Amino acid sequence: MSNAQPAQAARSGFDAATLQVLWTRLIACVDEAAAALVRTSFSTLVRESHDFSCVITDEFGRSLVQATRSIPSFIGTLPATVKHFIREFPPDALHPNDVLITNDLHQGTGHLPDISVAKPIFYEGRLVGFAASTAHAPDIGGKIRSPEPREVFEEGFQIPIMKLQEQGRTNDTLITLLRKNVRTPDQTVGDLWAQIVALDMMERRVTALLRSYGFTELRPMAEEIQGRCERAMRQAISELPDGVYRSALDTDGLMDRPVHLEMTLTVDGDTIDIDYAGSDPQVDRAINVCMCYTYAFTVYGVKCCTSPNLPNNEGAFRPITVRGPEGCVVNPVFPTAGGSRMLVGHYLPILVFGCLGSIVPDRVMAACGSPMWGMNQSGVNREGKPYANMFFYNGGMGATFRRDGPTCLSWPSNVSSTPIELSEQIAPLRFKYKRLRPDSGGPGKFRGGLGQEISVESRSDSLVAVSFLAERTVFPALGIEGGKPGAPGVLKINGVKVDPKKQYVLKRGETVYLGTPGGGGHGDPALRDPQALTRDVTDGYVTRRCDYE
Amino acid sequence: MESDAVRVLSETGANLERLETRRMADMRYWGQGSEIVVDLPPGPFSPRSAPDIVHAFEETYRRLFSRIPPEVSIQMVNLRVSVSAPVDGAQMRITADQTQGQSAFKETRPVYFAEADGFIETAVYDRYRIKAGETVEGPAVFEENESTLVIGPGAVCQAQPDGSLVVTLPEDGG
Repeated sequence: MSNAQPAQAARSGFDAATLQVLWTRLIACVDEAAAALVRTSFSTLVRESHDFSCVITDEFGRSLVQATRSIPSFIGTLPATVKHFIREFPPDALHPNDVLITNDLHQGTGHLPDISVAKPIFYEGRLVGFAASTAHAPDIGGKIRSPEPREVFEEGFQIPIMKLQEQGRTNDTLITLLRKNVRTPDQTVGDLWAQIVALDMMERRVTALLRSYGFTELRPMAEEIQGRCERAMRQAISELPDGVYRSALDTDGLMDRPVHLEMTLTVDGDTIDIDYAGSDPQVDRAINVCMCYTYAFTVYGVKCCTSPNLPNNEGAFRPITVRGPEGCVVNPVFPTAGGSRMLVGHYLPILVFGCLGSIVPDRVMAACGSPMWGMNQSGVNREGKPYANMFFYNGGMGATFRRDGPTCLSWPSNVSSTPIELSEQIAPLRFKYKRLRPDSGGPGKFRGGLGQEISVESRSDSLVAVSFLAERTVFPALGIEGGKPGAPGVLKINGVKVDPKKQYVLKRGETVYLGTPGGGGHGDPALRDPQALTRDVTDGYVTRRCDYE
Repeated sequence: MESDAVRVLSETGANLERLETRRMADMRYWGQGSEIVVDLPPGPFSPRSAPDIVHAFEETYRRLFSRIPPEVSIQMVNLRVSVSAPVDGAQMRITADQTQGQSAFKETRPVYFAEADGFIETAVYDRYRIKAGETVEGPAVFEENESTLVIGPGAVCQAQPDGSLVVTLPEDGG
């Protein structure tokens, strides 16, 4: 909105005030739907970690608005999923109260637990748009979530693009099959219903909006909003000097074999092209990143550096193209597995920062203690029922040229850490501690954010299978402008360091220790404000004053 | 719970002849993290009340969230009872008559209206001096201490006995 010119407003037929009211009302539609999804969900992934999103698109699947707390990956993937739905079910194959569904790796979000659904919105007999939602199911069957699977077939129940509801009638065969194939049928199907509740809510609110303004379609409003965002993004890109910028980094990968990532970013006038040529070929583990997810986190990185306050929609991303050689780790081909794709995917915006840091140093931060960490556990509870949970933990964020990195914060995915109180209630675990990890923030004029350390013990009489999302145990989050790296992550079972990419089984009394990585520092540590350093020492954030000499 | 509530009301001096009782439960599907407040059917409750209670929950859930999930059991988390009765003499009445015989009209000045695409010479009124039943046609401005009410061309404003202003907008939405 910031650079909307009155002259443009007049041309489009929407005056600035009306457009702002409409836009805000659309945001209210999706936020209300998101609230309904949270209130009716059955899993902590949705309720506590907010691992979901709600989006409204126009009739072509072009995104218009998404819920305020949507996670960046789904903002990028969900509109693409809706376009796949439309390709499979063109408008004449769609009816009111149809609900489409998929968790396909390449057409969805790059891993099976994310179930995407969409409902065509009809107004006065005409298709005007789609209400869509993606949510992370508590379980989707298969081997429990770990980087170990080699093919998608090991990862659980696959739902090709199909109709979950046809004119309001549920496809019971699909539900029966889904229930049989997951460890948590009530939660997985319950959350699916919560998503449909959200779709209904968006549909009702959008049609009410059209009615109250006397509109017959969503498109003029959509095109106005998308057009404004596209112009703003092009303007922001034109302000960057033209050129070809490169960056590269290595991730822990498969422990014995790092994964190498390379990015070439070309600024040309008001467009940006990003090419991942030079990155490693896809690996035979579940850390490959399907292009849908690669795209989402790449454009997110560009947006952070160019126009972070611009609303996210199709228009904002039109000037950006993303590609990678087919068969590389960020554009893998069938039958790749992708369950833990964020172990590579969460590095992608940092590559963008690496490219643009030289031209806009005030808009990038040092590397973060991301990808986020997680512990998946499954087993059989006292009542003999199978259970599965995923608890998330976060590292510290990187420092910027004007402030310390925040501590234990999810970036680039805004998924919150699971509280102990809740974890102990739903899983047979006892937490000994969950606390900040001293000296984990990368030293610098501005310090990187701290990671956290968690010690947890199994209290189950039966075996608990655990697997992890854990990265940066080999390569720490680097500092920039002279800042030092954050501490690498540590994973121990019964006090012994273990390979975080493998699955383990815990007996009663056995313990897991997770130490999440800290963020990188910014600037020479010797230049740190002495008062800030003393405060860090007093607070116990820093015990080694010598790091700052 | 209910007798406790009635005792508090009676000590407050409420008129127990006009007692109203609502029985409610905070309910959810097993495994959810949020509850909804459901009005329960009148008691006393027995195992035979279960279908009515389930029905009340499902209807409330459906009204809020449009549909109910399949094959999940239902849980009551809290029970509530609300007992209310009026206290004699509690009726408040606001009178609008602050006119002291003066006219409410203050002046006219040009006011911009987008629907007219320009300025219109508009009457300005003192909101406190509008007489009950008085009708004013828009465009008009009503000034008061905390706020200003602007009505566009075609709108009609009528003052009520309690001092409220009821504005009727023209049919075309202007």
